[in-house]
Amino acid sequence: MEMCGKFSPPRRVMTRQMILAIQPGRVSALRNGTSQSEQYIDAATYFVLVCRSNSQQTSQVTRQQVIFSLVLQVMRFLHTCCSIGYISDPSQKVRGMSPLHDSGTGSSLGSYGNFEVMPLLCPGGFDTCTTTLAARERYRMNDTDGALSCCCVVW
Amino acid sequence: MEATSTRRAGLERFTFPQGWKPYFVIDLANDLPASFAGGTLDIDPENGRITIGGHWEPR
Repeated sequence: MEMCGKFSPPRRVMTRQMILAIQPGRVSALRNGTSQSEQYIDAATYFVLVCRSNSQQTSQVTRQQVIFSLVLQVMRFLHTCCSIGYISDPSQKVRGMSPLHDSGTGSSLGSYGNFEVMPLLCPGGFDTCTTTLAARERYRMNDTDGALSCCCVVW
Repeated sequence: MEATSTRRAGLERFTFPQGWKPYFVIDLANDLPASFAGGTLDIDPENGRITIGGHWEPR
């Protein structure tokens, strides 16, 4: 654990209710008062929660359950190493949204998810749909996601 | 592209421009460590089911 250790979260077991209750606008209860931790706590809520579940040293089963659900949705990005599966750096392209992430820190190739899904527009119909990774990479629209920073975790 | 998650389920929403037919790439051969090899793909239009098999390796 690297950055998550700075959160110093209260020791309590993650529950479904907590996951559902914690929204970006209501994260103040999680903050420990340092500007750096606030920076990371303001990141995508579910990745913050992954950090919390890990640092609480909950049982392996519980931890894996939480990790499973919280990284269920990961964006697949290229080039920049952010180990948890989501980064808000708009200079990085998206090439799909993955319903599944294998455990841990992401790929040494700089990607974060398995079996990603990417919407396509095929102006001339099905036969004109592109099939390569490079052809479907896209930048995000600026300021359209809630993540302000990246939570990097070493499991 | 939007996504959210609960403990056991994820939800994705894809919004397309008005008037465009939506297509998706579902890239089942491109796993995270790029280990995919071989593989089969079966499309069952009657049941709306696509089944694939192949070989993936852990990192």
